[in-house]
Amino acid sequence: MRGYRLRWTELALLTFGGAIVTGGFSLLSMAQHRHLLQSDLRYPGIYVASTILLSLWMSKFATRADQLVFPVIALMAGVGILVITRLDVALGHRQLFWTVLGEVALALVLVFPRRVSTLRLYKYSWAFLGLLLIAATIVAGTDVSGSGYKRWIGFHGVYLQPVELLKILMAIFFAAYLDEKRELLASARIQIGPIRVPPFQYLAPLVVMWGLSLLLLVKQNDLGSALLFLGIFLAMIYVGTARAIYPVSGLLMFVAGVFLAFHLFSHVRTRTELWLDPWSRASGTGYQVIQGLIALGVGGVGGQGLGQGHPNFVPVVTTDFILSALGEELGLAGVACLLGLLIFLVFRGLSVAISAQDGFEKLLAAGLMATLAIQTIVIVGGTTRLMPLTGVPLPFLSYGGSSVLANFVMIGLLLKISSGITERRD
Amino acid sequence: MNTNIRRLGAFFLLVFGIMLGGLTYWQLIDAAAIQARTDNPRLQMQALQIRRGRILDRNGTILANRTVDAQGIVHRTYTDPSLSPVIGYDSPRFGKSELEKSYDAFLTGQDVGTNWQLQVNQWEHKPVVGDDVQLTIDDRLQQQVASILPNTPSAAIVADPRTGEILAMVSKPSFDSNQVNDPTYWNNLLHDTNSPLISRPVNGFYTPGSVFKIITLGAALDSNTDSLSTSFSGDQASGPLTVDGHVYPSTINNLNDCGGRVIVPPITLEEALVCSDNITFASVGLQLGTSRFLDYAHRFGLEQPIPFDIPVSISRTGTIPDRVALAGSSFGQGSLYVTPLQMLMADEAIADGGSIPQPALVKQVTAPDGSVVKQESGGTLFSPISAAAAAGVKSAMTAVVQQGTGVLAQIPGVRMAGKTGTAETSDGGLPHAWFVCFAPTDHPKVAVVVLVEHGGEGAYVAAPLAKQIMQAALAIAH
Repeated sequence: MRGYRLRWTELALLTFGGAIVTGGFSLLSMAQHRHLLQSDLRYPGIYVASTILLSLWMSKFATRADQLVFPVIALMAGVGILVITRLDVALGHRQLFWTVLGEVALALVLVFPRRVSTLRLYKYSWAFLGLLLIAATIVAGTDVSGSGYKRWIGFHGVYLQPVELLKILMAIFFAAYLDEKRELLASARIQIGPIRVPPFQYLAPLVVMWGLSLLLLVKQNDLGSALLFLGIFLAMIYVGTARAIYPVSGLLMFVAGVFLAFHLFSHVRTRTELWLDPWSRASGTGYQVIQGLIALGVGGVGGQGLGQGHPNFVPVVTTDFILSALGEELGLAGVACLLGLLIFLVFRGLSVAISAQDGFEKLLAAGLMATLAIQTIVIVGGTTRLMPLTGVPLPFLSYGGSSVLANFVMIGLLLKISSGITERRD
Repeated sequence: MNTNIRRLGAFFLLVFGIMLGGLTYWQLIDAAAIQARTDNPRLQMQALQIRRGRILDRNGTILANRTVDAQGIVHRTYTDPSLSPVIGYDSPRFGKSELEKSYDAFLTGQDVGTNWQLQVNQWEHKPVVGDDVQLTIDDRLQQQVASILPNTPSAAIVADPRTGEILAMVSKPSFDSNQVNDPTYWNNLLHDTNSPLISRPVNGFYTPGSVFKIITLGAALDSNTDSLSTSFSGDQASGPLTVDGHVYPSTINNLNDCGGRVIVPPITLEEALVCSDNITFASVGLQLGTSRFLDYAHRFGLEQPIPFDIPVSISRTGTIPDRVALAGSSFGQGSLYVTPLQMLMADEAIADGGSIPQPALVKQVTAPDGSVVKQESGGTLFSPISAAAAAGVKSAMTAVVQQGTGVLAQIPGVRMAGKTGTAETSDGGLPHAWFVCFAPTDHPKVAVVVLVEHGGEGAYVAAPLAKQIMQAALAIAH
């Protein structure tokens, strides 16, 4: 461990982002009370202080980690707290609490384990732990949202969604396994007649793990997470093997699976029909989607302004439909900025992956970024009707303790990988 | 692996681009269409927050006001329930009616300013302030007329025959616009057999009876078919009159009691109006012929859409298939169905030298900044007969009040012209009682129509009411 070195770029960007979020809270306060209520600035104050503290922590424990990643997620998390506070004050305060907790988790990940590559040693344990948690949730979980499915585990008002943890554990497992077997997967071939087929048998452990998690998620009717896991799975295999045949055959199997599911399961059929034609169900099952689209339309390019629209007309606006609230009050301009921040983060993370020397770290960094990117695509695509709607949180912006914690841990792992890169510097 | 990571990045960038395209579609390209959807709850909310324009009487008395509650929701309050059939209601639940409906664009401020002003207002989230609508109604008179009319189904209109401005318009039974949003109250209104939701002065259909004779007389004089001194005798005057096999019974009893006088045929056409002699008017109608009779009825406004600030039903002549029907129609029976407004217009034609002024309820519309957005257009609506013919009818109508069936309408010191009507109905009840009049005869300032459904004789029921209304109106006429 090297000595203490302040991360000035990061601090400057955090100050800038902190000013934006504090400014947002001031606007909100003025929109709601017609003047600036000083007590409304306590929460952005806590937020700014926590980000500065984390940067100081990193100047000791992740001195050389990328200095742009944390300011980007801090700004998104701050905007998330801001918009959730606007929608529901109590929920906003909880989101702030979860964000601070997430920063603590990030700080801890930076110091323990000492090396990211240690994680690869227990790859099956991580995977089984994840599956066990989901299984336990199905048996002994709680149905917090009233969806009819037990997706939470916990007690006394603190509930966590194990699926968010499973996301990270599966990325670690896939990275470790692919790093171990990628030579084999990339080179070996089996000749069947004129077609050379890759050795699918080496994929068996991956497919089994993925299949098991999928099964559990389908049992919970969590199609969004199932879709996300498929995406992570295919993206990581592609990165690990450089062979397009894996993701392509995986996608084909997926399409076949969807076709089958469409005919077998009524809720898959309902969802597809809803995607194709929400208009004829505007007051029934299509209500949520259409209200979400109306909110986007009302926002237009410039947005109604913080606290000046009516995003609460959209059901579940704080979680799955946070994009509609962002779109109504911040407009296309604001949402485009947030999407820009997300893709910037993904690119920054992928460049960390490219710089990393260790194969496991490379794969893990790429996998974590794929997770964020695909999750964004699934929910933004679902809200804008580019694809069927399946509910997953919009990273850093939707309300949700587990989601915030998991995302900060993921960024912690990324920064840890970035910090370990010795030679190449930007 | 690095190449793959770069390709993965490129793929994500592409898909994010598509997402941005999707957002651009909903937030820019389709934005106007999707937010105009009726299931956008913001629209109802905005509608509830519009500072709806006030409605004032001609002297500036507030008739319909707005109050804003803590949530910014605007509520409508009405000060004079007798104006409900004129102003109508604005109910979030049951919609709008009458002036609240026809002037909605002004009251909700949708007409004001240029588009960019509206846009700036929207950006600043300022509530829209609607225009104030000032009526021609004089609320002092309105309330007096409402108290003069009986509480049975009836209607009255007071107007200025020079301008067509309506000074008072009462429909009974009425309702309270303040309570319309209450579903129980609304349901009771819908099921009330006396139909309080019908604005009788403009939408009630009635057989006119003898008040229609002013139109028949106007037609006869204007077409030079007869003059006031044309004499009728025998069965042409008092009947019984046989028309194509149908016998109209003798009216000799009416002539024996004409405002207390006994009239012995032969009688002049003027005496026929003074004593309201049906047989003479049947004879006049037969002389006119069906096509000429219908022509004059149309000229007076029957079968014509009447442009007005609130919806008006079209008065009907019905079909006149033969001479029997023509004879009946000529003294106001037959298949004629008219609104009180129609008879007021005929009354005004006589008062105003043969022309009917455009009826008006709205004097002007004023924007929140004080500028006048719309003004009463004025002008003449129809010119059914010549000034000379109108003068003839006027002198006969003056005699009606002086010495004929309208004596109970006499006001000491005021020369008045009028005509009674007693309209037989087919439903077997008492006849409808009518009275139309205007005063002063030489320079008419006020025209009045009174109708009492199944009230009995016009001379005994409607004329005394018209007298009280006329006295009240003349007291404040200018």
